[in-house]
Amino acid sequence: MSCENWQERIAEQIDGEFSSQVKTHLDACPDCAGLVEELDNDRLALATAPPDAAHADYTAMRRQIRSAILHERRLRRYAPAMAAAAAAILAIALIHPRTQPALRPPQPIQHARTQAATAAMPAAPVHVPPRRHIRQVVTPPIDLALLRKVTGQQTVPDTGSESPVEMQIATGNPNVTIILLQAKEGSYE
Amino acid sequence: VADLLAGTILMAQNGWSEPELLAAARQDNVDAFEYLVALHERRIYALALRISGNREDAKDAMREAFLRLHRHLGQIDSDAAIGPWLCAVVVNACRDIGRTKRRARLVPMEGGPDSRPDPAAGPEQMAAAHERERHLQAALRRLPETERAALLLREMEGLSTREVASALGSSETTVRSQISRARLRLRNLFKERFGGLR
Repeated sequence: MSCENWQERIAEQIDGEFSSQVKTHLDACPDCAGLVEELDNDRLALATAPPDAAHADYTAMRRQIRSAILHERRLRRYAPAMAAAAAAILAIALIHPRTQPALRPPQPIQHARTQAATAAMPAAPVHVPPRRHIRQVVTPPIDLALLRKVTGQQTVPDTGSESPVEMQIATGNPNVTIILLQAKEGSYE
Repeated sequence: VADLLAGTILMAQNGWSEPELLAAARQDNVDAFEYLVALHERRIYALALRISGNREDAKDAMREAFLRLHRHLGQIDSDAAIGPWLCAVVVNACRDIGRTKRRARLVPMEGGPDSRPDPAAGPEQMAAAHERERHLQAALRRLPETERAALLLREMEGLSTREVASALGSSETTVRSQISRARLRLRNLFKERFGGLR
């Protein structure tokens, strides 16, 4: 085994008891025996406190530590109150926006007629074109004699088997429907 | 400060043991904790000084170690000595401070600590101690971080292999190897850089 290998063993066992093999080698090798002395000196130097450690201001350091501990203790003491305050602020922040007008759901667009009636409003009325759709319904044959009697009109011709035409015009107002009745298609009666 | 000194002196006179101080500190007795600090501060500061290489970092690391001790008073085994626990914490604190400084590009200069001479010693002794420490710090700075910590925990604090392994979060086999390797590297560094100085 080379001295390099022996030195590894020496460095490992320097703070304890050398094995019998190492002792035998040390007796025979002055270089490795010298290393033992050097390593002992290094260990002594390391174990000696650095000069600066003997003259540090430990009182000031202790004062800083004490101050930091008292500060942490104060924080711990007030932590529940601070947590409660934070929770209250959070709760207010969550509830408060619901009372703000700006965050209300948008109002439905009012009918043009309703808006026009509110002339006091400074904003221009919103024109909503009435929705119209026309559907043509062919009604079953009606009794014209009964119709003349009800309407008091005598000009309603007797169209025989021709069916009258009814036109229903739906407006935007679901309560209003315009109904046009024609005696027959092409007639204006 | 007067109250602190009075409390510390009172506890010293009463001969409180470390477990008793620990128990009192757990009951929010700041004076008892202060005395615990006084018991360990010199060793912890010296270790921090060797690991970090400068006074300010060592002070910060020591303060952090004792603050962590105070925060974890309830978790420390009453029967176990707090010395090894503090050593582990101060090693980690030095490591954290070193990383922060490296990020901030404030790496301490290689060449040794900013140690002050001992005013009580003679001029020659002061110069020799200062020179020896400067060389030692320069060599320590060149060791890998973990090897340096393992070596210092063993040689300065006398921790067992198991305690060093626990402090560094490593295995005993690894620590044994790191310590012996660090001893040889340190020796070779002295030979290479300083020749016959040591």
